[in-house]
Amino acid sequence: MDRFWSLLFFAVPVLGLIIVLGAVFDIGLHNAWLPESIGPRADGIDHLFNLFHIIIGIVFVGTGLFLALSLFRFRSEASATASYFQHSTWLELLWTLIPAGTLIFLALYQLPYWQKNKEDHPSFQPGTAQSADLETPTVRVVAYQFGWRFIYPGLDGKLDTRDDIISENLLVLPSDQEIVAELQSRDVIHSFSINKLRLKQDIVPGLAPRIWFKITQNGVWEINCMELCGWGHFRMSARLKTVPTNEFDAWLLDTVRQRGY
Amino acid sequence: MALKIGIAIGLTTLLLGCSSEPQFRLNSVHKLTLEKEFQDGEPFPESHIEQVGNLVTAFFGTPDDPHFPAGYETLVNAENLQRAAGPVPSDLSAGRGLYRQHCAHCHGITGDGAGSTAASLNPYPRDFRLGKFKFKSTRMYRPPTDEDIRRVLERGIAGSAMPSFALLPSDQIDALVDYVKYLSIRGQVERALLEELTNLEDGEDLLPPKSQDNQEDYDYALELVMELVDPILSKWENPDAKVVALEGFPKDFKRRMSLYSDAGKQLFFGKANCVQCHGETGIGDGQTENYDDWTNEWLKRANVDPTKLEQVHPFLMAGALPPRKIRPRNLRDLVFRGGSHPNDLYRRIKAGIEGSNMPAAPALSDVEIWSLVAYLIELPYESVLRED
Repeated sequence: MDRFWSLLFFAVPVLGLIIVLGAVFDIGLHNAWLPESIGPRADGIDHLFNLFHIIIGIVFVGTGLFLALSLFRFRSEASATASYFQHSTWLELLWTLIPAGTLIFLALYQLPYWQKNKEDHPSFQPGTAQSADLETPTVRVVAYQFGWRFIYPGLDGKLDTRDDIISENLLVLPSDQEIVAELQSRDVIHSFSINKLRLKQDIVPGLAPRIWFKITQNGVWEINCMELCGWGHFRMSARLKTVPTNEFDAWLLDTVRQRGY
Repeated sequence: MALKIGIAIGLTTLLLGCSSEPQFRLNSVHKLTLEKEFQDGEPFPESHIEQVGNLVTAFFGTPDDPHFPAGYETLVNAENLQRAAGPVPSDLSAGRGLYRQHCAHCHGITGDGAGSTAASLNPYPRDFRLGKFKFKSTRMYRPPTDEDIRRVLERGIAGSAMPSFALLPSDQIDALVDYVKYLSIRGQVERALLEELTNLEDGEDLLPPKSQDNQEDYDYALELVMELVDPILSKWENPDAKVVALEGFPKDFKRRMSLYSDAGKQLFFGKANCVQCHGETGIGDGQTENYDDWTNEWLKRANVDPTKLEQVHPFLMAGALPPRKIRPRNLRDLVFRGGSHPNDLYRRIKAGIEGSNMPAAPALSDVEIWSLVAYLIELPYESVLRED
């Protein structure tokens, strides 16, 4: 009976190992571990995900194995005796320094990714005083209960003019082009998220955060609100369509023609 | 003991929760309104109400098995009706229960705009039973076209809690469009039959129970009922013929837009008097003391003072939502509820918005309406500060 328990607990690290390897190397359930990636931003985040997963996996499998081995070795049938001691400087140092070192490594290692996604505005030139927020974004995203409105600067390249192009719940973007989007909320806190790009940005009313990203694939994806914003939150999704730049320009012109002024 | 209680609760939920099929609710608010309006609050005889219920069920079926009165089956697609109706299946590909899945929690099983979330929404969800629709291309007091309903489903109504259903497959939206029409027509027929009760003499029946010796009476009564029902149904036939024609679009509209817009501004503050309700800056703060038709329907007809709780209370108990004043549209919202295309704006001004306080504009010429349209397009970008 005692052997049963140690075997049962041995299953934990074994399963853990399978899951970690399956997830990191995307084995078996393709695109079910992490969703499909449609841009470099997602690739970077996925790399971090996988690295973290490996480190956590080593700890998980290691502790699981240790537990299962202890259960097996010190089961009552084997009548092995454990040694009891009160303090070990060597052990204390080991389990303080290794986690601390790992955490410091992770904190430093992820910095360039944070820098790239949150700090380095695509048009920012080091050493200049230029403020990226003064530039016209590719699109302004206005979130409201419960939907999305996308406002393009139009042919004159300026927002807040009559020439603006407004699209409800459909965001069309050129692929292979760095996109800068300004986010606004009209009522409560929403969160703009493109799952397949691992992009998520909260939108607090009154603030207008900017995000930038690049999508390298053409297709249709979903945009979701990721902040519980009221009863209709589950329905607050929009379509994202990426097309080659020339098709995007044609779409803009077509929309201008169709709006009738 | 605890186990027994648990089993009892479990069994009760099982029996009540799963076996009871939802039913259409009687239009109790309208019933109460008519009682107050025509007979000093004297309630209708139970048998009369029952007859109305039986007739409506005979014509339209139940939420799980809806159908249309004989002779009018072509108004909606029967297959669509079945797909939109019924309970939500656990296997969504079975294609039933669309209305209950997407609409009923706000608009209610009966389409009375009093679903479980309705009271917490502002504006309230639409009550379809009045047969009035705001955002349509047809003339005032005419039913909308299928395309009008479809567009509201696809775009949602920005500024209200009505979300966009654009991500639903097109055939499911078609089914929901037909079901909205069905609920609306059903509600109108029910209202007409309730109204007819006020015309009955003492001891007279809306439809006497059928038996061997009163065949003639029964047939005559049924004929009278059909005389009420027929006009409602036939009104929904061929709504495309009632679409407001777009007339007199100026050829130089795009080119001389600012000219038209200036003329529109003059009209806004002058002849058309938009400013009275929509306010000087166009944010909709002019006239804010009115109610819409859905509320006035019982407020005005039953002569209820909305500030007096003892007068309002019986209606709330009958299922009405607390009366709430209607706000004129904020014209600076960038997107209009009924569509932002100049053609949409033209129709809103020309034909008005049914059920709201936005009147039709018979006194305005076509050029004047197009000028107002130009001003509406320009208005959101105009400073709210006065120039002087």
